[in-house]
Amino acid sequence: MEYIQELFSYAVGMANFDMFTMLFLGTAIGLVIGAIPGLSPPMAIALMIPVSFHLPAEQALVLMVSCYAAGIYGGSFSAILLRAPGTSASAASSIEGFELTRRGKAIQAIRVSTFASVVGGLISGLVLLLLAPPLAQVALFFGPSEYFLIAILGLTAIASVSFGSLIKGLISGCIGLFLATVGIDIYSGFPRFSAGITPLQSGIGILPVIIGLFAFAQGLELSEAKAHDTVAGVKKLSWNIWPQSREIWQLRWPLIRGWSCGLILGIIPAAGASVAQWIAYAWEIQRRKPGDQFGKGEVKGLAATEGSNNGSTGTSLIPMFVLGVPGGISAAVILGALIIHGLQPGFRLFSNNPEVVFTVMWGFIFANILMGVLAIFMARAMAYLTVMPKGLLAPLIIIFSIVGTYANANNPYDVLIMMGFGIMGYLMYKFDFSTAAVLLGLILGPIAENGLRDMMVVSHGSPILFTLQRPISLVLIALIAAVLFYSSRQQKWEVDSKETIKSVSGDDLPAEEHNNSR
Amino acid sequence: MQNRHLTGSDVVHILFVLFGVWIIWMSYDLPGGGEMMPIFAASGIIIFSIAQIVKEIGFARRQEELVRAVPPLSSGFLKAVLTLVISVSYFAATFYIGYFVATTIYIFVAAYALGVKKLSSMTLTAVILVPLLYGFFILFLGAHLPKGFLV
Repeated sequence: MEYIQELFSYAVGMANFDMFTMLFLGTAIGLVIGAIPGLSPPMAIALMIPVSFHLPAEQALVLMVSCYAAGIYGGSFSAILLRAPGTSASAASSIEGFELTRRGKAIQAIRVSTFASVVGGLISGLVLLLLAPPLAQVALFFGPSEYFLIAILGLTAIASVSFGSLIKGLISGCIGLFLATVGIDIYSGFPRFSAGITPLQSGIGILPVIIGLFAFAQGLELSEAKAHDTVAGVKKLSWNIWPQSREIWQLRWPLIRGWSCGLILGIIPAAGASVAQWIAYAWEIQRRKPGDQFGKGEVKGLAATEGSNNGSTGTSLIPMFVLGVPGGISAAVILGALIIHGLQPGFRLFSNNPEVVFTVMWGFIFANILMGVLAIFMARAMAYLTVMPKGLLAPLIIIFSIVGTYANANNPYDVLIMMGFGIMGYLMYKFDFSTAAVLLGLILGPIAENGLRDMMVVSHGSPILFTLQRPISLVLIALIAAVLFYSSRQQKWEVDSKETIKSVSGDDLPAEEHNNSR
Repeated sequence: MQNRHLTGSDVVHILFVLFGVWIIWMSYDLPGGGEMMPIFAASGIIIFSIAQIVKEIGFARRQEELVRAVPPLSSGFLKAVLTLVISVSYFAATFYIGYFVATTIYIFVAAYALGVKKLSSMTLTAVILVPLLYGFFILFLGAHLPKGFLV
């Protein structure tokens, strides 16, 4: 009971003007960015890092988690109104959502989506708040081999959430691990792979890499499209999206099934919102009754998919806070921000900086409430945003990438690094490699290297034997194997789910956004 | 199995193998155990790249998919290259003519190069964006953006 009271006492940290401003800004920006097809929550979070660099850590992180929560919900607007999912997490919603729009029920669809997302996000946030602290205690039992294996688990998990090949994700992760070794070796004081370039001797900064891979690269990708490419026009609509109790009562079971799917799959690294939505939707179709109109605008299907994608947002942050293993790509970018602000995930985060971590969790919970309130006022404007021409969007993203990177340290060299990684990210999109895995390799590289070196010392040169004698290491090895097995089967399960959906809806599924859009 | 030509994907993975070999070659002389992680990462790059090549060779039916994966020299790709060149020039120009003037010019030049012909759209974007950038970065954050002989 005392523990619960302590948790609630941190909610007071949200009650100040600065914190509310960050919450408001993050939620509003997330809604807008999420609603625009082609722009993704990770990109928005990446652009916020330099802006929030001078803020206290809790304010900066509240800005980012609120942007993440609202971004996933914002993606539903374009999915429902235009059949163009703003994020990959809302791809399934576009099937029933757009059919409802075509039948003149756009407002009902937005209303159900808003309720499912707000309540799903709230439950997910509360699960995050209650489950993360006890789970963090597991990290107390970690030694060198566990830290090394955790880094490998993280890389395996993030490699498997990229929609390309798992092998390509693993190659990307190894490239990230290598990039983490560039600069002076702290053990020997010897420079590695810096090619005599002085700025490289201090290593590759996380900030230019994040902005380059996630924002600048997306700017280049958008510039490929026709300048006036917009998805469709939006006509005048009535915008009363306040939930109606009778409607919610009728949809209670699809909502509960959707939320459960999101909560459980969110906590598993490598699953997340994009997988949860399809499973929730397929589950709903399997339980269909005579008279249900799946594929032609069935609100039950929409309630399940919308409940599942926001239901996974909070729980996907649990492995990130507890172990440093992000549950999705947005969580990987937030992990980068956490480290830039001098915080390390794990038990020490909860024991040394409880005011930061719990305030951020409360920020996430409040962001889910605020996004529902803001949506009521911003819905119409957001609908119009979906028709912004890409010829103007691309230069805007590039301007923000450059100014954001430069303003952080007034260092032109950082901008060149950012552009270099932007080109790399653009080429990686082209060849279906995972930019998130490169970033995570760079973040987890030092942890993995310290673990590997310490393990060599304490094991007297027999690291494998040493690892096999430690139960937690064995559990982690089993987890890595499970993630590899799961991701090799995942594609088949997704295909099966989509086949089930297609056999009912009889329609082609909407194209999902690129793999960096979660 | 069908006769199979070298694809762009093969070339990329062969380059990765060579990159991995280069890392290992460069790492051997590193003192104090500094070679362990680079060699670990390079071994991963080499093994997974070879695995990907083998996987792709093993599935001749993937030929079409592989061809699609190669970035074509389409007008879209060339536009991305053009955007990159304009963006690098823009960043260099900020140190000579100042951040805000360069940004205003960049909006017009980049949007025009991408095919936006409506002067009103570009002007509206510049009129909204430039004061927003000034207010946020200079007044709110107190950042020092590049200054040239203009602003």
